Amino acid sequence: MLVYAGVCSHAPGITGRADQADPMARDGLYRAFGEMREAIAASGAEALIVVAAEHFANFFMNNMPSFAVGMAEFYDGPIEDSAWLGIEKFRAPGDRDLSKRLIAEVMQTVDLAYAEEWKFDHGIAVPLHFLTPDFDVPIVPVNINCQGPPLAPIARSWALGEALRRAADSVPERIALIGTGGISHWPATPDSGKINEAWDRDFLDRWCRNDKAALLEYDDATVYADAGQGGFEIRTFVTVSAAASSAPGTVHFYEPIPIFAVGCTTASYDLTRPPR
Amino acid sequence: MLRAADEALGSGVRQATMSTCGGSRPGVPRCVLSLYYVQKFLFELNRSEELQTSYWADGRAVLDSYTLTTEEEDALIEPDIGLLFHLGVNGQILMHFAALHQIEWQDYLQRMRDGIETHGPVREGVYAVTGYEGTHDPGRGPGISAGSAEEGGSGAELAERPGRGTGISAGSAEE
Repeated sequence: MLVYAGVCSHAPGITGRADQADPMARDGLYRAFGEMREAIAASGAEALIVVAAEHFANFFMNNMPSFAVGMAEFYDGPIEDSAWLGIEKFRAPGDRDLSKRLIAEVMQTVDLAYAEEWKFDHGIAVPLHFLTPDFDVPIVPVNINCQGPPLAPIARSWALGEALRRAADSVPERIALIGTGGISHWPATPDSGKINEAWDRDFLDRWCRNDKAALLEYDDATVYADAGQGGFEIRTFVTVSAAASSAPGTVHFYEPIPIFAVGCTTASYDLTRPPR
Repeated sequence: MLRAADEALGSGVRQATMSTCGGSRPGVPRCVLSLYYVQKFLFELNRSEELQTSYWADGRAVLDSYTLTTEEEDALIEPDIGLLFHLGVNGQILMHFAALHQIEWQDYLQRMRDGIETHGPVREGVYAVTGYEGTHDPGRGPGISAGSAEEGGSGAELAERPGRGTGISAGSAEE
């Protein structure tokens, strides 16, 4: 049963370059992450699905799945240097049986790969650093290829979200779901730090309204032009929109923080309220 | 331009230019899909401490297992971050290679800018699809924040921005 649905940023600078950020902005983001952690805990979640956009840590262009789900008893991370990322090496718990049941249900409508070995990069390690710092909740990682075109169209991410919702509701465990990615950003390029705030706010408005048609208007060419290659990661947010099934959303924090290379965001859907 | 971008995004990484051939291994063509193999080497290097050890011990010997041009091989040995970015290496792969060489973040960004200045626009891969030249135009559109090099001084500007930190919701009156 899905009990929580939200999204957050995952940029490596959030932990790795924290000392270089405006302290007020950084601390505000950290507080928002703390509130998200409390909300997930309050939901009684027994497992956390993390829909991420990994960055060539596990998947490469020799065999790139559009969608992949982890099916392991544990996941090690971060794959990056700990000093560089600001996160110590960890082993996060998984739940192979739960993953297997979720995968089987998702596969009824969406083709995906599964992985019994998966090393978390910053795309998952940074959110977990704030949301499950004690690693006391089993993780089910989900990856959407947002890095190596050709990418599955955004409408397919919507279909994945619908399938994840159906899968979560098919198991007795209380499931929290987060999507993690950037909105507009040009990460790891000379334009790192560039953020199109107006574009971000328009996207978040569509996300909060959970307006399927408006969210599926995006195509990669225009996203690239307005929001950079990092904007491809809106797929993770759109997946959560579909899983929330028209529930209304609220952005709890949004702030462009250039040294973190993204408009830092936390947001959630209210699953207890009727769809608009 | 957007149509061209669509086509390029649809076809993924474009094939390397044949004129860049020039490998040293007899009988092995070292020019086909070169960018793919540059990135594959870096992907594997980023993941494997064992490969990193071999790379530090004898980088040329390690690279002999990959189908690379001499230009690419030299760039990976030096390392020439700017040239690798110009060749089209994805920054999500390249930034870890820079970190492996103890290149500080701002220096990493500057080396990419220098590479574009020296060698020209990104040649292949995802950054080349819309004519990306690796330079940020701060005047492009309202609300676009500037780059990270000036981050330390951006606090006042951020503090003055209306709606800071919150304030977006589903838009209904009761929110």
